[in-house]
Amino acid sequence: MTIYELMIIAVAAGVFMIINIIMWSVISHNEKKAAEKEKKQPAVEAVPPADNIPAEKTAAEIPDTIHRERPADFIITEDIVFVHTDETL
Amino acid sequence: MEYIAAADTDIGTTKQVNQDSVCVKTAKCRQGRAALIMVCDGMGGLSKGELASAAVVRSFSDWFEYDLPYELDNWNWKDIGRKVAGRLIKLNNRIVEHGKQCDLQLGTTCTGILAFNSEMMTFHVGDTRIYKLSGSLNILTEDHTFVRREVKRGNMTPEEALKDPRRNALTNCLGVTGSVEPDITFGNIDCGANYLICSDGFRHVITEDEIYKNLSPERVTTKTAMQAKLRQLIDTVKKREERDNISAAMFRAEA
Repeated sequence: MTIYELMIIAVAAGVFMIINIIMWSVISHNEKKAAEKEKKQPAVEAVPPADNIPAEKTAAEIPDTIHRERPADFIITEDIVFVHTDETL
Repeated sequence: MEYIAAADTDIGTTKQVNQDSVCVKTAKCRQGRAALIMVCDGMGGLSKGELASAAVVRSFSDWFEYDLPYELDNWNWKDIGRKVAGRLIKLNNRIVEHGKQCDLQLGTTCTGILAFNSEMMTFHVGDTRIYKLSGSLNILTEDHTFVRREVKRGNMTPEEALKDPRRNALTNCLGVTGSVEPDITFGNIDCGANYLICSDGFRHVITEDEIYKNLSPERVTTKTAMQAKLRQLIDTVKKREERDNISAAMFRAEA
């Protein structure tokens, strides 16, 4: 190979490297932006922040509701329930 | 503090069953006011969606009537948030189990507001939405849909998302897999604002402008007006040949 041919190969390799650096920088920048956007914005002004809820433990702690007597001062003022089956789980 | 709320639902123009379920409950008590407003959209592509959505609504309706009154004296939003999330997870497990036993695949979304005096909590799984109407229309929930995730990642434009055949595919809902991740948020009620919870059938063929023009707090402040406007919009949606079930609930607080 002549020196001229080797120079052309070297320049091509250099250009290829530069294009790759630019391309991967853009990709990395876009991924960072996407990751930042995925961070949740509070939908309303936060009162207390919600903790991570341990799923299995929390579900196991929830007992079935018993239809006990309501306190006399708890008065239902609006009661709209739309369901479209009599079946239950 | 006064709470005003209303709801309406319709089977739509095509479906054989209305698989949506809705619960609107308000109460006055010694400690003030409490409200539960929720919409569950049973999944039309899966069988017995109405059973899944009804199970969730009945569970929360019972909780509001029989458990919540005993929480009011020592109200703690974190505890309440955990209980609501835990209930959703338990319901998810029950629906999944029922599906396995009956060889069915049933599921539902669940989106709601729990209000106590001047504060509120939102809980959300799926693509039923909460809008806040106050000066403008703002969405308070993020759809748990495949297309929403792709739009966020930059793989799709919002316009492409509207037409994509996968636009109704959910990434998070009750009853389909063993895992569900509810979004829970806390905040202060904006007195004088209107809050709208609606299934996707309600919003597919009407614009956000139309929603705001018809349901804004400048125009709708009483239960009668809420009922009338919700029915008017549902009829409009049906005229535009929306194929899905159509459900919506509204809530506002007045000081």
